[in-house]
Amino acid sequence: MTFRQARWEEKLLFEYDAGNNKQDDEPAPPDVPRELIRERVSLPNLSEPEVVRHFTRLTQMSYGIDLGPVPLGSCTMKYNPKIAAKVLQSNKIRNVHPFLLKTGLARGILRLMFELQEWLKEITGMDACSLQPPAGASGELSGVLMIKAFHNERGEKWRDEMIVPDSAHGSNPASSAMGGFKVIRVQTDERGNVDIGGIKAVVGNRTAGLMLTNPNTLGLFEERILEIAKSIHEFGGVLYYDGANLNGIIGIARPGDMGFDIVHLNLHKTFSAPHGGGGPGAGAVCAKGELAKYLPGYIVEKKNGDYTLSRPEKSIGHVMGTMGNLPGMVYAYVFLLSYGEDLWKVALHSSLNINYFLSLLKGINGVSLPFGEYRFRKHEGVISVKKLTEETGVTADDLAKFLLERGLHAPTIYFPLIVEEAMMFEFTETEPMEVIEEYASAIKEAVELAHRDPKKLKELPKSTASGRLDAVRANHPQTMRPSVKFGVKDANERKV
Amino acid sequence: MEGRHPWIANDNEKNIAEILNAIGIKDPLELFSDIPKSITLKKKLAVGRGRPLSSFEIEKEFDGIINDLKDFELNKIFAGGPIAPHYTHPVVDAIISRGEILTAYTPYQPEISQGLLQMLYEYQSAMAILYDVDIVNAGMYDGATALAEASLMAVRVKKIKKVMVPSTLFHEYKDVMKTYFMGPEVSLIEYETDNDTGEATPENISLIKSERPAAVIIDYPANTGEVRRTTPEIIQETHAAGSLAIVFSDPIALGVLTPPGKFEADIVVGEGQSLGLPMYGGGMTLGILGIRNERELIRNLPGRLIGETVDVDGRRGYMMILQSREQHIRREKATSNITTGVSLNSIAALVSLAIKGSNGIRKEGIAIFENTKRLMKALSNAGALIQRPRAVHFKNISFSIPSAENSMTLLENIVKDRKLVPYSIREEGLMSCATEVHKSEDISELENALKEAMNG
Ligand SMILES: Cc1ncc(COP(=O)(O)O)c(C=O)c1O
Repeated sequence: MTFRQARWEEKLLFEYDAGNNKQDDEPAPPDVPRELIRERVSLPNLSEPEVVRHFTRLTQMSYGIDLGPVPLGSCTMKYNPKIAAKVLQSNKIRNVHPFLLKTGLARGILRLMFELQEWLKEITGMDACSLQPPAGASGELSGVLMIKAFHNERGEKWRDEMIVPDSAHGSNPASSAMGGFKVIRVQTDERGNVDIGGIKAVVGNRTAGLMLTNPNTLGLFEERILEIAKSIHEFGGVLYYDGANLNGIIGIARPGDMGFDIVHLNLHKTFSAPHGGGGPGAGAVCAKGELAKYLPGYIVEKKNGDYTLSRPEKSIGHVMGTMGNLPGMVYAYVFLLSYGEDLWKVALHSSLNINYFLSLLKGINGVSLPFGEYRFRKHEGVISVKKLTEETGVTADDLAKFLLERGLHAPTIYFPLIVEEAMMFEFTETEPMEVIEEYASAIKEAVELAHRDPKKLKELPKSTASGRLDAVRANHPQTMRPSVKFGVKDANERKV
Repeated sequence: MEGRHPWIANDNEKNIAEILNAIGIKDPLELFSDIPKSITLKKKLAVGRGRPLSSFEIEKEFDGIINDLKDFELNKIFAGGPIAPHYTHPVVDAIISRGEILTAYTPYQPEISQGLLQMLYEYQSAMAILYDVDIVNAGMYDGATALAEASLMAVRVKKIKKVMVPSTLFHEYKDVMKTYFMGPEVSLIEYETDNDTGEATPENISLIKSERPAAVIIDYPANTGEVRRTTPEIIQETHAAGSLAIVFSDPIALGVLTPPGKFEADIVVGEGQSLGLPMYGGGMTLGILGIRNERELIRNLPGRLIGETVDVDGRRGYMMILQSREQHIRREKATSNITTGVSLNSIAALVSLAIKGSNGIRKEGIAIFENTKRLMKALSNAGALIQRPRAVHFKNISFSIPSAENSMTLLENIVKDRKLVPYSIREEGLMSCATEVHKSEDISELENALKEAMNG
């Protein structure tokens, strides 16, 4: 495929001066204290068509799933249904003031939220769900704090350790730390499972819980999950499920049946809400049994055909100032109506796709599949190009740039941290075979080029809106520039 | 396989057979054979309507949901709080609906994401200009979490586990702060302001001085609307106490009001919905978080940051910077767990601000001041008891009504008669707001509605 991304020499908004950059001298309202009146705001005054053109050009130098594949492992970049986008144009939905959700005046929304809660309970095997968390990481923080409150309530405040595998996403240890826990790291065994011996060695009376994603970030199902659950529960610990990888088993198995007590879901991954270039996300956090009493936010309940909000009995409080990302919920609702009982097809096709891809990579020199090489992956797979790097100096980053050159968005690279020169692919259920084949042949070509002319690879990409960027300059304290305003006026000298 | 699903390209016999053949298995369920039998689902999940629905059927389902919603015009909504009715310009919708950004991931691959990165850089810059600070990150979930994270930042910098908040702060904000404070066990202390003028009092200034918290949060304008003349003084006294000043400002006020950076705020925070994002039941929010250029503050800043640089050919370009603060690198030592942020909402706010320009944002600020004044008069005329009545208010006004009837019944009656939402019922009391969407006729109608409902 030949690919060429737009390369507009697009000025910054602040550099526009179409003769209309003048500030009107609008008098300030008379009763506002003079000393609080601002002199001027240095923003440009552009015409509407100028604004449209500026931003349209910039969108042409961006790349999303509507343009082509984005097989970022762990991110589940799937098709975002247009029906949801259409529904969200309804003024009746847009004009819902959050206060109305607390009254009977926005019944339609409460019904949607209620049904979504019910379906997510069914999917996860949990007893209750809160739709408040604005992203996955917020669901994690909720879960971590629920675990804390749960132990504190039982007078077991000494439980200050959270067990987290070394393959976990960075937000897991970060959320644990924000919850005030010490992070106890356990390793991955060579089959690609979390090392159960390691868990048994560290679990004890100080264990608050274990955070696990299953399938894990290698795309492998934790085969001994029941034994893991037992060993954590035996010591009074709580099992937390990071639902970012649910796509690989949705409709096939449920975290609740595996022994998990709390689950977060990413509506913007598994449930087809768009990523928006880095958010807004939408999360949900669900829990079982006693722990359900600690959920954050509000739960929608149905009583005598009417919908009302309730606060869980021992709620940890609120993790956002509102009831959650409603547009994200609309996407999830559309997604589940669309699949219904065929939901398992999502897991099936995402697993078929990644295993198909891995089968096409077999035999490529310098590319390996570390951890349980002989095992099937679920939704994603992580290859290592370490050997290629050693032989040719070409890194995972270089291969990523080669893919960009082809108009193929790169996979996640250098994650999980336990795989050296990692490239983590996830095609989801929505990518066609042809796309997967294109990726495989691009990797093959890149590897050949690496052996033939590695320098060429280092010069890529050229067909994207920019070439490789100077990260040192971007990050160095002397040259860093995080805004047009930075360093313009004399920076305030006062130290904190 | 039954009917193929319209979103799955490979959902047909031929493709499935080819893939199975390539991976060397016969039955696709072999892919799941490592899941213990005892926990593999034996039945299909009961979600949706059971049967997969077509596009048309899904739209029909939504007709039902939308039918169950009242049709409020934006300018008939006076309910106050952190989220308020503001006008969303069609250009905003047009830009953020474009698939190139709507369906993009976080720009980890900068070369193919330059447009998105430039927009986020422009967002950061526009907010830095508006608040008059050096650095604003690419966005937090909402105003509440931004305040909570700003507080935790101050706690880390100052190594003091105490933060002071004004009693006028939205209860949602206090709630979220309390949740975020559970982990590090930070205590939250409230300070009061004058009941009549809304200004800082000598008592609350001396409280700040004796408590010496990590930070004092100053709402400017107050979340309950008052524009305090004493704002610069509170900031000065906060610094004198050795604490950081975190100033929360509604960005839509900053076309008129002196920006908090001018008063030497250390950290600025805001909720960007007011710049013109749809309310969506509180579902489209933007936490603004900025700092002045100070090493410790930069090191402790949570969230994403975009910076300018050059590419191999020396052309200007943008990329994510200072990532070593973030969870994917620093893990348990990260400044926050935030991963997915709110990029699209940041862009929406930027586009909206670009449409307004400096003239527009000033005009809107002035319009809101004037409308709030009208609102105050309307509420008083209707017999409401205004809180801190002698303060000049911006946007929100808190009050109570001396009515025998309960405020919910009153509200429901007004909604029924006039399709108008007169206020929200909040922990702080009743709260109404006036914004740029309201016309004086709308405010008069509110007055009449309240009078009518209260008198019978
Ligand atoms: C495995 C895993 N866990 C957690 C997260 C955090 O989710 P979010 O980005 O929605 O906060 C992510 C994604 O970024 C992830 O891939």
